[in-house]
Amino acid sequence: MTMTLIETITVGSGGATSIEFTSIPQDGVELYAEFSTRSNNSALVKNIRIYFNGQTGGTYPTCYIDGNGSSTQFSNTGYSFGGRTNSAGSTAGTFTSTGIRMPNYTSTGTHLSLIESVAENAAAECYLFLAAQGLTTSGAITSMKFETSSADTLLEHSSASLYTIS
Amino acid sequence: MSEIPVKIVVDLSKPKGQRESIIPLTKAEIGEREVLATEAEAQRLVDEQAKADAEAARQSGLDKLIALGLTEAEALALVGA
Repeated sequence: MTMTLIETITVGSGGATSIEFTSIPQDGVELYAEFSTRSNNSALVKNIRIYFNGQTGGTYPTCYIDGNGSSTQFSNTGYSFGGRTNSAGSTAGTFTSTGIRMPNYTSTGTHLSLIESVAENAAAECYLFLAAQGLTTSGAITSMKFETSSADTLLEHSSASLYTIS
Repeated sequence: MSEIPVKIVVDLSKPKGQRESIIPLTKAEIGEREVLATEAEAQRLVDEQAKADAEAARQSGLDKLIALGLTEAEALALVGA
């Protein structure tokens, strides 16, 4: 098994609402992306979304477990739910770690991603999100977009790395 | 922060060093983000309400079992902890 780093992007001082990789190389067996993020929302953590091939809306059957250290919920939704990102209300300098793994991304049909996301605040609270997210497309996965919820911005030093595994 | 929100697009078909573009969002994109966020939030609230309703029904059933004379441990053993 070989894991190849395709690209790493770091958000600059102006922030950004999203990071999108396009023209993803089709020479891998699996796709893996890592995001280290923090948003400008005043909350401790905020939701994020992950889209593939430009498809938005309720086309992502997602089943997830979401824990915050004191309670846990298990649920599902049709909308993309990529976990949470540390936000401005959490300890300064704390960034969420999110990993997304998609096997067989060059195939057609239903693609299933495994999403893991962890966030933390002041060594007192932690958030763990684990999801299976499906997507039916007519072709291979060629683009991936990671974005904040409305009106939020990914802060400087947030980063994204894309790998292929072959 | 930028006055106009921007997005980062990384075109992997280009050589390294030429891939990243920082692009201001159009009004349509800003509007689309707001619609999607509203839809997702509405769905999340529906999901949470459904869970709350299920929990309320479970607790109501538990209370009725206890009222019939079961201990709480016995009632929980029937409905699950």
